[in-house]
Amino acid sequence: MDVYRSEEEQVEALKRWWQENGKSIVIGIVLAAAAIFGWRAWQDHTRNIGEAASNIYFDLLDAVALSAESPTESNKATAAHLIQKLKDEYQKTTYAQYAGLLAAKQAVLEGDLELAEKELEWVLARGDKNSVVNVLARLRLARVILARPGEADAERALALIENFDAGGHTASYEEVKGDIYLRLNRQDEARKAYANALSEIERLGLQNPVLSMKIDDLAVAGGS
Amino acid sequence: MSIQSIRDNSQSLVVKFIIGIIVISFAFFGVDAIVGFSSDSNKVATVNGTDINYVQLAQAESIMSQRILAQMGDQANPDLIDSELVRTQALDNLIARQLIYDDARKQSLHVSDRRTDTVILNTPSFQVNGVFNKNIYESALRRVSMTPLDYKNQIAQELLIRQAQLGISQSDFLTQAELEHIARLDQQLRDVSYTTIPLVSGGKGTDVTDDRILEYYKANEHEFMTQESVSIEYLELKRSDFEHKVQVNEAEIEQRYQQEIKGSADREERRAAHILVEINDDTDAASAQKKIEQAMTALKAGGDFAELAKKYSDDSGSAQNGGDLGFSERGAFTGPFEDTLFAMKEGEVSDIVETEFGLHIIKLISIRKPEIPALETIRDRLVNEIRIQKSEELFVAAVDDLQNDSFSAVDLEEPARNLELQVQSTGPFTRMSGTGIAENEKIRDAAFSEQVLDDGVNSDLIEISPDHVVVVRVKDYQPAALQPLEDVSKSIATILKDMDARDKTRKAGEKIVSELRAGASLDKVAGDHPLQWTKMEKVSRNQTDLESTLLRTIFKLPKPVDGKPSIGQLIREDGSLTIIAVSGVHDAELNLKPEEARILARYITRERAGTSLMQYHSDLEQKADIEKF
Repeated sequence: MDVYRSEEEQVEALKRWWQENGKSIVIGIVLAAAAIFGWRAWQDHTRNIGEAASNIYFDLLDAVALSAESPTESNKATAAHLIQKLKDEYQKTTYAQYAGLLAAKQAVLEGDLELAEKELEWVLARGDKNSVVNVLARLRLARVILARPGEADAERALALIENFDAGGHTASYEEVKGDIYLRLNRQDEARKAYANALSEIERLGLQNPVLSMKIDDLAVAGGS
Repeated sequence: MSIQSIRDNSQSLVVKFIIGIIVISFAFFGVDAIVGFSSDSNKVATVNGTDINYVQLAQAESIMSQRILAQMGDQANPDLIDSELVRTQALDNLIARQLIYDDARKQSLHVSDRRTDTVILNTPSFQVNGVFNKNIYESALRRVSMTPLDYKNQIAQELLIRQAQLGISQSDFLTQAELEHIARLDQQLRDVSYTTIPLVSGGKGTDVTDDRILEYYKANEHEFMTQESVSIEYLELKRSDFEHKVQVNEAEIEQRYQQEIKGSADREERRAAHILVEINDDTDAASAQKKIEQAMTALKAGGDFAELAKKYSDDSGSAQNGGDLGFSERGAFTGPFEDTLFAMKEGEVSDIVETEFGLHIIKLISIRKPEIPALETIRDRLVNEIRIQKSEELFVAAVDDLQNDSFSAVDLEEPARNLELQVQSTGPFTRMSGTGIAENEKIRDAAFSEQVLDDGVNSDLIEISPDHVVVVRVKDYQPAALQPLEDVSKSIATILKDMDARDKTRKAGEKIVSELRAGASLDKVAGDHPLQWTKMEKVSRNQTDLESTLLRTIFKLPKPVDGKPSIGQLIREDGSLTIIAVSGVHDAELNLKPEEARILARYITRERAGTSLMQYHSDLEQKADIEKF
C-alpha cells in the first residue's frame, strides 16, 4: 500500500475512492434495508392473513358442528357463508383447503354428490400433494365418485387412487380400494385390499368392526 | 359382529388419548403437558430437532395417572397403575403432539392473540361464578411456576394442534351408498342348521395303558415338579404385647388432661371482618391512606361496618359479605393483622393496620372457644393413649435388643431367652404361598433370601407393620423335586383320557363335516350317525337365543354356492363342538329409519375420524426424525 505524504493527499485518496465505490455502497445499503423491511412486512402480512383466516376457521368449525346438531337452513347458511369467505378471500392458505373439505362434507350431507366432487377437486388443485389435506381429499373424492351408481364411476374412482401413495393412510386407502373392487365385482382383489386394511388397523392397535364384516362377507370355502 | 356390539367395543387407551385431544378440556393441569416452553433439563426425546425434556414427561405422566385413577372410580388404587406403561404412553403422547404441532406449522396454520385470550378467559378453572378471576388465574400459574406468557404460548400451541385435528376429524362423512352397504351387511340374515356333539367320554377302549402314562410322565416332567419349600423358626415382637406390662397412675392422667385442654384453648377461633385498601400500581400509598381514612371517618361517625366494607374494600372476595372473613385460628393471617385481631375485644374495631396487602381496618365480630371436656368423659381415651405411648417405649427398646441379639447370635434361642420370648415355627411353605405368618410376602421373601437360606443365619429385622417385627431362621429346606410316578399316574391318566376324548370328538366332527362337504344331505348324515339338527331361519347378528361365538362363526362362513350349504364347525374350550350348515343368506331389504340411519352414520363417521387421526399421526411418524433417549 502506498504511504501518503500529507493529509491533503489522504483526503484526496478518500474522495477518489468514494467516487469509485460510493454509489454501489449506497445502493447496497438501500437494497439490504429494503430486503429486511420487505421481509418483515411480508411476514407481518402473512401472519395477519393467517390469523384472520384462523379466526374465521374456528367460527366455521363451530358452525359445521352446530349445523350437524340442528340442520336448520340458517345454520347451514352460516356454515356456507364462512366456507365461501375462506375459499374466496384466503384461497392461498391451507384454511381454504380445510374449508373445501368441510364444504364437501356439507354437500354429502345434503345428498349433492356433484357439488361434493367439485369441492374436493378444488381442494386437490392446490396445496402439496403429500399433505394430509390433499391425501384425505383424494381418498374422499374417490368415495364420493363411488357413491354414484354407474360402473364407469367405479372405474373413475379406481383410476383416481390406483397408483397413489397414501403414506401413513394405508388403512383408509386399502378400504376404499376394496369398496371399489367390490363394486366392480373383482372380489379377490377386494378381499385382498380389505385384508391389507385390516392388518394395518391392527398394527395401529385399532379395531374396525365394519371392515371385519366386509371381509367376512367375502369368505370363500378353504379360506381361513 | 353387529353394529350393536361395535358400539360396546372400547378402543385402546392410546386411541382414547388421541381422540381425547379433539375434546381438549382446558382444565389447568391438562395444559401443562403441552410440548414447548418449560426450562431446559435432561432431554428424553428429540422430535424433528425439538427437545422434549424430563420435566415435561413427568408432568404428562402425572396427568395420565390422574386420568387413569379417575377412570377407576371407587376402586382407585395407585398401586394398580403400571408406571412403566404410563411413562411409555405419556412419552408417545408428547411426541405425537410435537409431530402434529410441527405439521400444523408447516401447513401455515395460525392463531390470533384474541382467540388465545378468549380461550384463557373462558377456562372454567379460572372462573368464579362464570367470570374470569385474575387472582385465581395467577395463583394457579404460580403453583406450577409458569408466567402468564408461558401459559399463553402453550395455549396457542394447543390451538394450532386443534385446528389440524378438527379439520381432519370434522370434515369426514359417510355417503349414502356406504351407509347402505354397511347397513345391508349389518342386517343380513342367514338360514342355518346346527348340531352340537358333546365331549365323547367313557365307554370302551378309553382306558390308558401304563406305557402311555410313563411316556407322558417322561415327556412332561416340568409339569410334575414340586416347588421348593422351606420351614422356619421365628421370634416376633408386637407392641400390643407390652400393653399389659405398663401401669398408668392418676398423676399421669391428670397431666395428660391438662395438656389436652391447654391445646383446646390454643384452638380459639376469631371471626374477623375487614376493609382493605390495596396499595398497587393504580393506587399509591398516599391515596390509599386517604381512602382508608375516609372509611375510618365514616365508621367513627357511626357508619355500618358491613356497608362501608362493601363500599370501600378492595378485597372483592369479602367485600360483598360486609368484609366478613369467617372464623380462623391463629396462623391464618399475616403477622400484623393477626397480632391486632387476637389482641382485640369482641365487637371492637381496630385502627388502621398496614400489611403487605395494603391498609386494613379490622373488626372482631366474635370469638369461638372450643368446649373443654370434663376429665371423666375422656378418661378412658386418655388412659388408652398413655398406655399406648408407654408400651411403645418398651416395644422400641425390645426391638432394639432383638436386633442386636439376633445379629450376634448363632440361633434364636439366645435372643429368646434374653427377651423372654418363645421361639415359634411354621410348616413348609413355598416362595409363592404359605399359611400363618408365612402368608406375609415379606416373611417368605426373607426366608428364601440368600442370607437366610444359603448362609443359614438369622434374618434382619422384618417389619410387618410399625407395631410388629419378626426375625426368622430356616429350620428345614426341601428343594424342588420330581414327584414319583405313583403319585401322579392318576392325574396323568385323567389328562390322557381327556385328550383322547377331545381327539375322538374332533374326529367325529371332521367325519361329519367331510361327508357334508362331499355332498351328503343333512338328513342322511343325521340318520347315519345319528344326530339331530336344529334349524333356524333368518338368523340375525343380534339373535339373542344363540351364543355369541356360534353367531360369529355363522356369519364368518362362506355363502352357499349352487344351493349347496356351506359347512363349518366351532370347537369350544370344553371340547364340545358344533357343526354348522349355512343354507341361505338374505341380503336384507334396507330398512333403516331416518333416525337410525343418522345415529349409525354419526357413529361410523366418528370411528373413522379416530382412525384418520391415528393414521395422520402414523404418517407424520414415518416421515419424522424421532430419537428417544
